[in-house]
Amino acid sequence: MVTRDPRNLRSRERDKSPVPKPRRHRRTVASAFLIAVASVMLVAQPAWAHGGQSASEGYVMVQQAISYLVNQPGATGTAQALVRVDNALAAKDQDGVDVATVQQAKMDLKAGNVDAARPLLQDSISAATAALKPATGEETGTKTVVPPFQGTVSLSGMDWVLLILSMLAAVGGAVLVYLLRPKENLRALTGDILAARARLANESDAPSSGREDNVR
Amino acid sequence: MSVDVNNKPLTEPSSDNTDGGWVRKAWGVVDDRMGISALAYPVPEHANRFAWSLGGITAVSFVVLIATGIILAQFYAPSPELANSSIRSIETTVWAGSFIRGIHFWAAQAMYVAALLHLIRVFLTGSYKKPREGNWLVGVAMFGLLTFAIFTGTVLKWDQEGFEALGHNIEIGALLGGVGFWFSPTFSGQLPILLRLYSAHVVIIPGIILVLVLLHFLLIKRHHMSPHPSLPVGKLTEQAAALEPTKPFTEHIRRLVTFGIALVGILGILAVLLPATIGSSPVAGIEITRPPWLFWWPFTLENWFGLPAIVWGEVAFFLILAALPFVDRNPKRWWRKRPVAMTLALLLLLTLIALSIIMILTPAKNHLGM
Repeated sequence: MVTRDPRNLRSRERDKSPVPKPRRHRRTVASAFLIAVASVMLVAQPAWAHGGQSASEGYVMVQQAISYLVNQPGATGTAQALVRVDNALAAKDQDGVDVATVQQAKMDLKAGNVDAARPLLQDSISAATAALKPATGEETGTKTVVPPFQGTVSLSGMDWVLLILSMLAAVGGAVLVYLLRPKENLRALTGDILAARARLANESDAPSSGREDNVR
Repeated sequence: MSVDVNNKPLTEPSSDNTDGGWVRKAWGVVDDRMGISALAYPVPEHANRFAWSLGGITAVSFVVLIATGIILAQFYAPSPELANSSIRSIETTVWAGSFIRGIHFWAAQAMYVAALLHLIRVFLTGSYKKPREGNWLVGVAMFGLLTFAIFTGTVLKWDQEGFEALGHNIEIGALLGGVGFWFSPTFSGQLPILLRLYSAHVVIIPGIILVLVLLHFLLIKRHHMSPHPSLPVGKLTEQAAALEPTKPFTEHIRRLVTFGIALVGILGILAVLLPATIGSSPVAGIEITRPPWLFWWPFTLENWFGLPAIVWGEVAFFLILAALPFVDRNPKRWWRKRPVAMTLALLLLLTLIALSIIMILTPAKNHLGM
């Protein structure tokens, strides 16, 4: 009894296919790529709300108000902070927020007394921040909102030493760059190459074909 | 023929050199066993010029970043509760901490600028053309990783700017679906995402860059330095003329070291006079800062078309770069003989500059769904 090797059968069937092999191969690759892209897109999630601690929590709104005050000094920052304070006062979740202190801070803000309002706002959420667990995921872990750090304006003795050393390195490096620069510019290099080519042509007693061996 | 650092043929054992001093003998002993001189190659004279040293300057910046980064890692606390204050502590209590952090910050800027200029030089001189397409792709990959390294470094400050950058990245990760899983804060929800970004910043990204740098250098050795389009070449137009004078590899390194000394000096001056700052503690749910300058152009797109435009803009930018050697089949290397490529590149560059300028003039907006 003659048995058929299924592998041979499949091979013969493939050979009889009207589509040439390379094209079929390309189709397979393209299909695999499309399936991969589709699978990625299918599990794609819409970009949506996030932000560390939930922005719907009252104490986070108070932190937002402080952040506006420290990042945008002036009327704009104060106005934005007032909006956030109002949001905090209207928030459903006011766990750990001392509402009376927030209202006092609001009065100060309206009066333009930012310096008094800021510590009040920070104090008003001390219970909430004290209850925070170690941050995970994208939680900020912020308990006290500290203003930006700009460093000192005046230079210390140490700064002067580092500055002078840096200047010496910059100048010394620049001098070395100049001293060790290539001696020939592009025009001179071109002249060198053409002269060497002509010399080679003369030595070989044959006209230059310009077909030098580029292998170094 | 390949030569070693002393311009001797590699086939000649270094230890046979008996007329040199003890340093040369010691070098020969080490080299015979480690094969270090196999990395050397003769460098055509044109490659010692400044424009052709930009890749080396990028590498020097990378070394400075690693050195200062190792020091900073001794004092940085990669936890959300402590990160911001630990950087303030580096600035105020660690000996020369502000200076070292300033050098780290400015070296990152220098590396990005040098890499960008190197990329532009390679484009202008057609050095990405056959047979160097693979090395161009390696370079583009490193440029992408460098961008990611600067992004993660921004987040590590854990100030308002860094947190807002993270917020964008998390949403972009969500937009990408399965591909963006690593950026999801729920991927390993028991840990702060800051810790994972820290591991990426100090291990994963520099590690991959190091591997790619080695590959980049080996491919340069394999293909040789690309020819200068203004100089005569032989029959093989993809190689510098064999008759062009060459210098030993050590001279090329020596020149890079001189650039490196000048660069470190400049970085030091900047670190003292314009120290790196750190913003206020991060607060969720607001956007009040601008991103670092290299992200300005995609953020203008975001202002116009929404957050997904950042993804499409960056993907388009890197796809254009990656596809360049396969689309541009013009064998000519001199820029004047490549009008189409030059015009398109100029348009792209002007677009990026214009988008960046618009970002400066636009106030910060809320984009995140917070």
